Order: sequence, then structure tokens, then C-alpha cells
Amino acid sequence: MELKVENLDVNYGDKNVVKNISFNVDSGQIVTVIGPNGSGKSTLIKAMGRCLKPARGNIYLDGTNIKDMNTKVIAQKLSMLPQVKNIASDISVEELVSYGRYPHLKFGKRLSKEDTDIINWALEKTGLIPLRKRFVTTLSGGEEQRAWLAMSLAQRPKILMLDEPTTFLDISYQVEILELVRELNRTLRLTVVMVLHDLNQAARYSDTILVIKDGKLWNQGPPDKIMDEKLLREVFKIEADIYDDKVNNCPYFIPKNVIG
Amino acid sequence: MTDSNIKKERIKKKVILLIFIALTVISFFISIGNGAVKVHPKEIINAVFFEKSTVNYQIIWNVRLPRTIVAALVGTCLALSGAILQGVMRNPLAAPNIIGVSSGAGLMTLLILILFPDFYYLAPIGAFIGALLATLFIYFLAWKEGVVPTRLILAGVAVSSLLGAGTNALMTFYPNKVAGVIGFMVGGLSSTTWQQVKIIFPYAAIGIFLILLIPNKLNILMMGDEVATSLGLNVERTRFAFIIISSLLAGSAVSVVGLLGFVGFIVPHMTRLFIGSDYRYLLPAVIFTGATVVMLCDTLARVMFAPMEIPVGIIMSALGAPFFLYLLRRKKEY
Amino acid sequence: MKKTKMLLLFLVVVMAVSIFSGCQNTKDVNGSDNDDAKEETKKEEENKPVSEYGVTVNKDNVVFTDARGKEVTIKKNPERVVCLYNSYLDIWDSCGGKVIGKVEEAEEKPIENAKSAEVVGSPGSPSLEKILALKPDLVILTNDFKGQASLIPSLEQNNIQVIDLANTYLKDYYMTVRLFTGITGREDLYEKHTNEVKKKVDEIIAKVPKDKKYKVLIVFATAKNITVRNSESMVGEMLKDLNTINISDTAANSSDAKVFSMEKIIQEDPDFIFVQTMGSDKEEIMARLKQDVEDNPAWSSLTAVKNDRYIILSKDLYLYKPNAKYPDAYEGLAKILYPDIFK
Repeated sequence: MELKVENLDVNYGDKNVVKNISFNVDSGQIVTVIGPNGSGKSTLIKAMGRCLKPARGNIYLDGTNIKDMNTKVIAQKLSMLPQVKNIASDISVEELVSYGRYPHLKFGKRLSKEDTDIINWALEKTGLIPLRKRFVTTLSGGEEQRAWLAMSLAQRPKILMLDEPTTFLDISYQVEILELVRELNRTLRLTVVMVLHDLNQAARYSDTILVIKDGKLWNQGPPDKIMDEKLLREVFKIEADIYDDKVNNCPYFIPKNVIG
Repeated sequence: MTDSNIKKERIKKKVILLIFIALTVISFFISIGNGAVKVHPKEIINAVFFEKSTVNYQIIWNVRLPRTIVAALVGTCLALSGAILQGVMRNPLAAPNIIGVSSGAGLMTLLILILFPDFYYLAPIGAFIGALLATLFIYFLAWKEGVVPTRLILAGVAVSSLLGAGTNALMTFYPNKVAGVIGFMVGGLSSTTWQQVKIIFPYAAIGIFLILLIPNKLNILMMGDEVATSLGLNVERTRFAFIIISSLLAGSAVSVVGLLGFVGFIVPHMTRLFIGSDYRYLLPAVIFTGATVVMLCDTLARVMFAPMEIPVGIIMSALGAPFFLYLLRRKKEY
Repeated sequence: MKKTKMLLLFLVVVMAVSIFSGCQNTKDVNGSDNDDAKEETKKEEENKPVSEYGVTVNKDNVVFTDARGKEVTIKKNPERVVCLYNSYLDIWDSCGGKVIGKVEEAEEKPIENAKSAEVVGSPGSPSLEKILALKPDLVILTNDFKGQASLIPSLEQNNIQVIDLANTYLKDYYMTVRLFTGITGREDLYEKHTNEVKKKVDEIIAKVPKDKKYKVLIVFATAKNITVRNSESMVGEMLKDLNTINISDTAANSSDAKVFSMEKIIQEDPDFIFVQTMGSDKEEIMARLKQDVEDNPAWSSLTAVKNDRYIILSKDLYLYKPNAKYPDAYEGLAKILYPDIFK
């Protein structure tokens, strides 16, 4: 699934948060959006997931403007996992995942055999089969995030969007989720657009990185081209040493001191 | 939680629902069987099916039966309205009064009864329209490229205060006319007959029908606006539709019975403590718990100081609130 | 009722004797005792104090017990009077009193002589400022409205005399007439508005047949609930005097409207149902009210409705106090109850 963002302006109230951003996401890529707090990256991804209405500009899914698409149809192709999620105390993992089939259900119809198969598949892909009957609120942080991922998967999207999927999770869960995302990308050819806070993680798990500063697209490219002193200095205000991670084939940095 | 436990949970919920239905039926008969005038069960059957012209027939058929039915339907409508609002607003404090139903209906009724007393028969319709207008007004005030629940609640509080002030002003300037209106303000089923049944039945029926088709949407909305959008729900439209349905349900109840504040707020919570927050079970459940609560409280209101009647709202608050607090302490969730 | 009357007569004679001996009656009289005190009219010389209906008329002032149970002294012939309740204004006017201040009037009952008086607000909440600006020496108000009763401390602080009334019954009317005519010095009007009224009312009551004990109910029409008034209300008292039984007299007594059980009404099946309404007296409205009742299966099963004894009372005589027209009010009810006797 190809995603094209064209001259996008998004406002939060009167404030212009995303300023004239354009970029393409190729099919099957993992694209990570990074930037300091308040740069507009969350706003950008929400607009891409049509949770926010852009003030100007267009977003195209496989050539069709999402403005012209029915929201349910979009939901059959695009799934967005937001930061803010509420869960009732008495819903099981299986039930949560089953909601992922909602965009595909006709009005008033129940789950078919095909739907149940897909739910099982999603649970399997996220390693949740043994936990399927548990109440979601009794799971660990990583397990719960996996459950939400499974729900997104059950939508059978071609493109998956994740808004800070690892923030607030323990390191082990962070790695767990990112590894899972990469595997899903590889095995399912799932296009992924995600917002990450941790730059090293972004460098390790992305094909392309988009850097947002003050609402504008500051730079885009593969991690080894993007990750340099200039980025860290100008955008993130730190002096750092950049190294090559030969094991994982990606750059990583170690901060030296703060600028300004 | 093992496999069998989850199954047990499901069965438990279905059993609880059946218990609620049974309670409703029992309450129905308790309500018909009791009142200011003592009528034995045998006489009831006699009166309804055989002797059509006796005093007992009049009492059972023309007074108790319609009153019981209206009590049940009113309880259902108000409880459904509250349950929907609590889901749509994602706020456990939500209730029909928050969307202006009580204050809108109250003000409109007062306007008619005090300023245009010749048109007293328009009061029920006026209450209904007043409720709906107040809701729309609140929605309009809270709208800013869409409606966020918090803004809606704040707007609701503000508008309710405003309309409440209007109501108080009317009562201050026309204190001699207040006596005739107090009955509405407190809420009661006193002069209920088959006419009231005809008024509320269509709304209750449509409301129940609609609601049973779409509990999933409520569950999804509860997960958050963004999750809901991602799943293909048109959040603004759905929220608006639910709020209007809620206003219609509550408005129809208020127009027939006056301002009954308790049911819409507490009954969904009480029911939730037993059956959980899944709207696929909760909505059917409140249909019955709402009916039961109002029928039982109305029976008490009629019987406690017969032949005088206490306003139902007082009974509901006096008994319901402590009972609810007791439940809260027993259940572990809170 | 008869026994009480004898007892009170005795009490009154004792009081009259003590007054006659020259002592001023300065005891603080309990409100309820005073309510039951009914005195015989005595022909007294001008400088001997007259005491009737609990009101003592002295040479320069009048003493009575107000609605708060307080004994109050009012100087005769006040010059600047404000009246905040039109029912009392009606009496004040008929007793020869003048006002410089009044409250808004209903269109149906304007008082001619008060046309030039300044309006100080609505009955529910008159304006203290406007009242004080008129520099009155007497304010007549009702204790039934909180917005008026709350003004009393401020008025008294400003040394303004206050007459605080809460009239419900016929004897309250007599008391008020005695009070007002005592203040205006119009004994002729006193005769006219009490003794003549009393005579006519007593005549009507005397003609009432003692054997028929009709069951009656007083209902407030446009209320959402079935609110009733028992014998401790204005119309209730009249109906009781006319020898009927009010089926709502069973429970707690209060003249406030109480919600009554429809079942009980069906069981008791009263002979007459009297309806008080807030609406206008226009014929179409009355007809509509009647139609609503006839369409209602519960109400239409009642004998009173079937026999056209569901009577909608006019506001003039039965919602507002009839005051000097009490005889008309009594007669109106008597004609309905006993059409053979009262033509």
C-alpha cells in the first residue's frame, strides 16, 4: 500500500502544527517519524490516520484521496494504533481482537467462520494464543500492547500506523514490540508508519526516517544517511558520538553533552 | 483466568440477565397488586377478566395497569439514556440531566403551565421539545470542529444552570402558581392512564429496538475516539446520533412523568456492578433493571402513606442511594 | 364545633370583663388561641376599646395578632400605605383605605381607586428599594410569599408599620375587615362587610339540608399530579360549612396541595368533584378541560363525571379570595350541591 502525503497543513485549534509537509511511503517499508516533543509528529500521524482533519493538503492511499473514501473502507486498509486507549476491566484478549473485524462486518451481522479464522491468525502472529482468554487488564504492559497490535492485525490492513507504541513500556517490552513489528513487516509485507521517541530504536528498525522539526519536514532518508551530528545538534540539541552497529547494521549514538 | 472461567463468566452474565428479567416480571405483579385500595389477587383476576364494570376493575385496569406499564417504560427509557450517555461521554458521571434534558423539559413545562395555562395539554409535548432543544443547544455550544466529551459536559453544566435559573426566576415571579407545577418538578406517576402509555410506548419501543442493534458501537466508542476512528467508526456522527437518541428517550420519559433524576444516573451503575461494562449485555440489562427500580419505588410511593402519595423521586433517592453505596462497598472494582 | 364555640364564648366573656375593668390586655396571645377566638359584636362608645375577631380597636390605634403570631399595634389613619398583595388591597379599598404603592395586578381584577398608585414590583418579589423610596408609614403584605415575608425585618428597622397576614378562611376575612376598618375608622363599612356578609352566609348555611351528606373532592386541574385540597383550604372550608364530606380529609392536614391516590378516588366515588384551575375562565378552555376528563377512562368511570357533577370553579370566587363576595361564593356552591333548595 502506497501512501502519499502532499502539502499537508494540520492545525490544533488556531495553532498551525504541521506545516506544508510532503512525502511518500513506499509499499512494504517501515517509516519512522522522529522529532522533539511538540514538533508535530503525533499530529502528523493522526492526520495520516484520518483522526484529524488537515487544514490544507491531501493524503492518498494507493492513489485515492482519503477525503473521498468512506471511513469504513479506509479501516479495511489502514489501521492506526493510537497512544490513548481505554479498556474495560472485563474484556478478554480474544474479544478485543475481535473488534478488529468490525470494519469488515455488515450491519448487524455476527462474526463468520472467516472472521474467527482471522482472529485466530492475529492472535497467533502476536503470540497471544495461550493468553487469549485472559482479561486484557490482567496482562503485562508488553502483552497488552501486543493485544492491541493483534486487534489492528485483525483488521487485515495493508498499512499499519503506530503512534509511540513503545513509550512507557519497559525495555524488554519495547524490544518485544519492535521486533514483532519488523517481523510482521517482513512476513506480511505490511507497510508501517510509526512515531518513535527513541532515536536509536528508530535507526535500528526503520527503512526510512522522517525528521520533523517545528512542524516542518527537516530531512528524510535511510538511517545511515540521516543519523549524523547535524541532526542531533540542530534538532535534538545534543552533542553525540555516532557509531556503527555492525551486528544490526545500523547507526547508533551516545550523547556527550547538551547544547544551549 | 482459565478457559473454563471465561465460559463461566459468559454464562454468569446470561444468568444475571435472566434474573433481571424475572425481577421485572415479579415487580410488575407487585405493582399491580398493591395500592391505596386493598384488592386481593383473586379479585384482581376476577376484575380483569370477568366483571368489567366493578370498582376493582376500574382500579386495576384504568389506574394500576397503565401506571405500572408507564413506570416500567419510563425506567427503561431513563436507564437506557443514562447508560448510553455514560458510554458516549466516557464519563461515569454522565446522566440525562447533563445533556440538558431535565432543565430543558422543566423550563418548557413551567413556561407553558405558568404563562400559558390555557394550553396545559401541550405540556408533555413541550417537555419533550424542550429536552431536545436543550440538548441541541448544548451540542452546538460544545462544537468546535467536532465535539469532545469534556466540552460537552462543561457546556451541559453551563446550559443546565442557565435553564435552571430561568426556572427559578419563573417560580420566584409567580409563586402563587407554583403549587400547580411542583408536581412536575419533583416527578411522579400520579395521574397516569392509558393516554400516557400511548405517548411513551413508541419512543420506548424504537429506542429499545435501535439500541439492541448497536451496542458494539458503544463498546468501540468507549475505547477512545482514535481507536474508534481507526476501526472505521464515524465518531462525530455516531456520538451525535447516540446523544440525540438519549435525549429522545429521556425526553419522552420526562414529558410523561416529570423530572426523575435518579434512574438515569444510578441504575446503569448498579447494573454494571453485576453484569459488567460490555454494552452487549449492559444495554439489555438496564432495560430490565430500570423498569424494576421504578415499578418498585412507585409501588412504595403509593402504599407508604396511602391515600396520599409521596413523589417517586424521593423514594428512589432515599432507598436507592444507600443501596447503591452498599453495593459499591461490596464489589471490588471501585 | 358547637362545644368549642361555647368554650370560646365563655373565654371571650371573661376577656371582655377584664378589659371592661380598665386593664389593657398586654399579654402575648398565642397564635392558635387567637385563631379560634370569635367574639360577639358589642356596641361600645367611641373611647371604650372594641375587641372582635381578635382585633382590639382603641382610641388611637388597633391591636391584632399577625400571621407570625406576634401582637402588633397599628396607628389609625395612616397616610402613606403600600399594599403588596392584591387580595388584601381589595379588602383595604373596600374598607375605605387608600394606597400609594401596590404590586402588579392581574388584568382581570384591577382596583379602580389604586390606579394612580406606584407599582413596586411583582407579588412574588417586590422591590424593597422602591417601597422605601415611597416613605410609607404602613405596609400590608402576605406571609405566604417568602419574597414578602423576608422584607419584614428591613421594614421594621426603618420604623415602618407592617401588617403581615396569611388569610385562608372566612374568619380571616372578618378579622381583616375589622382590622382595616378599625384603622380607617369606617365603622359603617365594618358593618357592611362583616355583619351583612356574615348574615348572608349564615342564611345560606342555615338553609342547607342536614340529612344529605354528599362526598366531595377538590382537585387542582392543570397539575401534573392529582393534587387535592382538604377542608383546611378556602374552598374546603366553604364546602364543609355546606355540610359535605371531603374525601381527602383523611390524612395529614395542611392547606398545601397534596398528591392523592386515584384508586382512592375511584373507591370513594365522590358525588361532586370541584376543580380549581390556573387557566382563564374562557368557555373553550373549560370545555376542553371537561373533554379531557371524559376521554380519560379512569376519570370517566366516576359517578360525578357521568352525572355532570365535575364542576370547574371560576377563578374569581374560588381561586382568589372572594372577600366581600363570600356570600356569592357560598351561594354558587350551594346552588350546585342543592339545586332544589337554592335556585
